[in-house]
This record gives sequence, C-alpha cells and structure tokens, in this order.
Amino acid sequence: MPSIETWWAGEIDWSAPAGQLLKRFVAALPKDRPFHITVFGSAPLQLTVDRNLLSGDVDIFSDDDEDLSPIVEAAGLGKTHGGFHLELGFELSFRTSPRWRQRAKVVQLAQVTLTFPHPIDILIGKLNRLEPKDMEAFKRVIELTGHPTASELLAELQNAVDLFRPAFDDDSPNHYPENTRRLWREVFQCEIEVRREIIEPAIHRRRQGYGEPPPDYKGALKS
Amino acid sequence: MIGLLAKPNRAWRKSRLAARLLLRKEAGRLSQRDRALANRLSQDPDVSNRLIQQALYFLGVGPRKHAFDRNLVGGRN
Repeated sequence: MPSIETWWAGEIDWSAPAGQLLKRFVAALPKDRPFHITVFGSAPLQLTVDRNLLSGDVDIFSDDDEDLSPIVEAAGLGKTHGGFHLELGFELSFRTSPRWRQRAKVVQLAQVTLTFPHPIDILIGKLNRLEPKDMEAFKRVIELTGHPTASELLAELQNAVDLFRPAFDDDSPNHYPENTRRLWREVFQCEIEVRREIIEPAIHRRRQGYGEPPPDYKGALKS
Repeated sequence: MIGLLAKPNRAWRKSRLAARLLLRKEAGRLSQRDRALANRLSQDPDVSNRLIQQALYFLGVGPRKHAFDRNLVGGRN
C-alpha cells in the first residue's frame, strides 16, 4: 500500500478564509516568545485540499494547553465577536489516529509554529460525530485526491483501534463504531463489520507485540 | 543512592533467581533450602511470570523452551 504521505503535499492556501484568519491571529500573538499551535477540525482541509470546504470557525489548540482566550478575545477573533472566528480547544478534543503528529505538516510563521494534521487524521477525527458536513468532507477529499480508499481507511482505523473502546459513561456513548458503519455504507457503498474487520485484527496484532503469554511459573515454584 | 539504584533491579534479580530454581527443579536438583526459597518467591509480588520467562530466555532456555514448559508446568496455564 502506498505511504499515507504520498497523496498529500500539505501546501497551505493562505488566501483561503481560514488562512487569512490564522495570519491575523499570528500577528496578534506576543512577539517575545514562541507559540506552538495545532489547527484541527475542518480548517486543514480547507487550507490544503479544498478552499470551498467552509465552516464558521477555525479550531485550534495550544500544544502545551496554554489558555489563549485572552489573546484571541483581545484581537477580536473569538466567537463573541461574531463572524468567522477561532474556536479554542485542547489536544484532548482532537480524537484521531495516534500517528497524527508524525505525518502532520509543520509551518513556521515568525515566532509561531503551526501544525496542520494530515487529512486522513482530520477525517478520522470527524468519525466522532459524522454530521452531514463531515460526511461531505470525506466525499470531497476522496473526490479530489482519490484517498483514502476503503482499504487505506480500514488499515488506519485498525491502528487507531482505541477510538472504538466503549465510552466512560452513558451520557456520551462512543459513536465511532456506528459512524464507521454509516460512512462505509454511504461513501464506499458496502457494509463493514467493525469488530471483525477493525477491532479483532488490531487486538490480535497488539497481542503479538506483547510477546508470548507466560505459563504459570510461580505455580510451578510452589510444588 | 544505592537504595535507589537497587530498587529497580529487585524484581529482575528475584525473577532470575526464580528462573534458576525452576531450571534446577526441572533437572531434579532442588535442595530443601531451594524448595523453601522457591516457595517464598512464588508468593512474592515482585516476581512475575513474565519476568521469570524473560529470565529463562536470558539463562539460555530458548532452544528448548517448549519442552521445558511441558515438563515443568504442563497444563498449569
């Protein structure tokens, strides 16, 4: 299977609405220290795949969980000011493949390091809700790039198998299994058995990595 | 400082000792003292089956591990 990196150059279209907003944000940041910020949600898709993939905000988080809201509000870029705005989150908000950092695009703008996740990781993150605009994003990325194919996405979801673990509480159940099935039906026009095709192969591979389970040596010491 | 350095190795040293005792047991060479020590190690929380297995490989049981397991542990899994 071709490397996941080969179908995405990660060239940033700074003229897109999200690009313009990010430049304003970078200009508003203090110049006397570095900032490390990740852009997630739909903006990386708008900036690197299709500038017509629009949403009302640009999701960002500080890589060290710094609270950027005072700076964002002072610059008039927060949601309280209306219009296209920055939505502040945390890295915990970005649920996706554990491999996302190794294939993200990193760009330096003055004292600010901006990280843009690969589209595959943005799309995997969208499986959490898979609202109509998220489904549209999948279709549009596939239409423009030919990727991910069903087998590519399957392999990626196996590597991200912990996303399919049951939720901590009943108030916010885990929608990954159901949304994955929905996505396969609508985008790949076929059914997927999440447990058999994603979870079981991943758990099997994980166990192989743990090495052979040991016999009861402690019991043998007793007798 | 010595205590801090010794602590991380404790589980490994005990498990290695346990592995040596199992090898002796398999060879039918366990003394009374060995048996008492083996019994104590079997109840020691520092000693784990996984670490004993690593120690057995460390001590060179690898080529005959399956036979060793069969002879010693049998259906004890």
